[in-house]
Amino acid sequence: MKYFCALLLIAAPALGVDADATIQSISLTGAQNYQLSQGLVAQLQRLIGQKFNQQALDDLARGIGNELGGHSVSQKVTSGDQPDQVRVVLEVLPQGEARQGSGEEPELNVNARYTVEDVHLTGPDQRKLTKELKQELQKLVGEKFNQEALDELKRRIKKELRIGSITQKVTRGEKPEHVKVELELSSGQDREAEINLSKVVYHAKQGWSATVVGDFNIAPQTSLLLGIASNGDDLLERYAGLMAGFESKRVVTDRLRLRFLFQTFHEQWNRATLAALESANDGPGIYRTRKSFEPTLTVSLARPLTLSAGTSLQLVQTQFPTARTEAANAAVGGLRYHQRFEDSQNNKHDLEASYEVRAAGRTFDSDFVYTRHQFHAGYKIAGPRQAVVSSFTLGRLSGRAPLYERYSVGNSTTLRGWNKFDVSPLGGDRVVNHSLEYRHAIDGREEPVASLIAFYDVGAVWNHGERAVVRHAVGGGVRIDMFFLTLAFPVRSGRMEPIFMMGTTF
Amino acid sequence: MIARRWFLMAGFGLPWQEVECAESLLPRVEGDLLRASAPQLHFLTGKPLERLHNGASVAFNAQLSLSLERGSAAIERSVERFVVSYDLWEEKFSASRLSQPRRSVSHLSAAAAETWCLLNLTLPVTALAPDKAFWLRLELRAEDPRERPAVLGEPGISLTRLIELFSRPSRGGQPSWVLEEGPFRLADLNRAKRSGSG
Repeated sequence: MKYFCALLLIAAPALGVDADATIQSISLTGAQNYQLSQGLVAQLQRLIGQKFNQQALDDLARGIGNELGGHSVSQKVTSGDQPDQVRVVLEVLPQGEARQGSGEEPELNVNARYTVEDVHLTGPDQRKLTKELKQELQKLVGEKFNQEALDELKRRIKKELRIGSITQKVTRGEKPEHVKVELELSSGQDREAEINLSKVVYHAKQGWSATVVGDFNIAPQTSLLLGIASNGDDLLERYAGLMAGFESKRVVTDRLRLRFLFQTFHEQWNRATLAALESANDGPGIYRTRKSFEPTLTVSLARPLTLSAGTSLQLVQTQFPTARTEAANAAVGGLRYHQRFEDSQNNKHDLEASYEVRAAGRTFDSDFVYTRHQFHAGYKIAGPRQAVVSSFTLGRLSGRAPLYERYSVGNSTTLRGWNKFDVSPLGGDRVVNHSLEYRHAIDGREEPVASLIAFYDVGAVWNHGERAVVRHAVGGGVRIDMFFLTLAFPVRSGRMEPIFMMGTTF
Repeated sequence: MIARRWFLMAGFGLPWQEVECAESLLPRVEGDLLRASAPQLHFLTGKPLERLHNGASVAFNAQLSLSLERGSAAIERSVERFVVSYDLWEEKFSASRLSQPRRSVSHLSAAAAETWCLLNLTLPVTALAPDKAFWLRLELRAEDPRERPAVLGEPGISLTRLIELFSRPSRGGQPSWVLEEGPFRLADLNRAKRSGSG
């Protein structure tokens, strides 16, 4: 059987080129200043009009290379004027000049000979593309198709929009010898629009805090959320436990998202909070455990504006005066606006504003009755090497709310330099906080990731009817992408003890 | 190609069914070089073909190795990198072999481009005794873009890195093919060649 198959092979087309093909012409390029010997010229001419013979061509190419002082000679075979003809091009590569530099590859895409007629973007995120990148894409029109240039632009778009993938489709253009390029931007999640659940931070007074939530795709536009936390940064208590959830990023339409989040935590309390509770007459009690279930529906009203509505069903196991379980069930609503744009000087602007209301009452079978309002606004302006970031928070709480709903300032993000347990160990039902940060790039990249930062924070947390004590803090540090390292100083008379913080959000 | 075989088999007076080859790798000797084709192997399919039809070029890394026993260490090996692209207007394939001397060909069908790539992978067999049995192994992988910087070097491609690549299993999801066939003997291949030309 092998004998027959070997026999079969001999008659098979040689090297993938039809063995019946005749060599129409052999041309030599890259050797204008060289004179081939008569022998080689004769050898070349003998092959023209003959059946295609790879071995003979290899011998000829080797002979030319040797005669020209050890140059490499590459072969290219293309179709001839007739179906049974081929043209051969022998290209002499200059000695010492590498055809490709380190990491570069010459254009090997046959479509490089066609002209780009149009570049078209599709996908919901295309409007967020900066003017600079749009202009770079349009520069490809009228030029020869260049896969490498396109790959580089795709890489920059992915980084700019923080999307997972871009699908490229190149098709014939309307005009002959032209091609159209379509880039489909994946409608992956806009990470900045998502509630950022994950972080790892260290605060010199509050220790390590970590909340890590994994988002696992289980089906198109559907993911499973699994997380673990030991967080003493966000709230008055340190909560430790597990989170699990389900999110559908497309319910009937791209504009609707649905999320279910279940959390179970065990709580630990700071001594300052416990001492403050003992002396408080009508303060809310501490709880040992907290379980919550939060279904949320988010509607994209217009691209930068989203509306969310849902419920927060919480069960807390209080300890004093007797151990009992209390429910804090609230209706939750929010409005969020997030817009990015670029000005004529190529400065990037990022504007964000949000409002959230949580209302718990007997209607929801809640033991706590309260209404919590929080307004947040953020603005960032970034040039090539510098950026300024401003963040403002305002909150108002009325009624009887559990401790986790009370406001606090003095952690890794608010009133940096202060310890929240020094500011107000029981938190407050009013809050105002503003942070102003200046960043200056220290790496030489086109899109810097490392910068020195300097900031000024001012804030206050108080209870209704009390006088607000405004506090200030200044500090500086380093920021590398999402990672930060800072030293902050509380502005006060007397002893000034700096607070070191570091961490990352992702 | 199948029609051509049919004609040739008819010419030799052999029924078509009798030469239906079950073997996957078919070696041939040309002077001091051994080449192998794999008529049943089609790698311009699936995701690589989808990328080609979308105008992108796709690189394939190939290794042909020769060993004296099945599964044993190779005594000869040859690695090559090929880049294939699909002409959107001509609707034909082009292929290039990147090692020196560079070779490229255009206006081929998918099958012809596949054959061209495989037959441009050669093994020297001068040191092999004519009656010594040997096994051939062909490994082919569509290149993972993450491997590209490691493979490209000066000049052209880094053969050391290509060999290193094949010493590792292919990444999950990376299209790859492995064919192993034998035993063959040079004496049989040379005898078959002389009979065919005689």
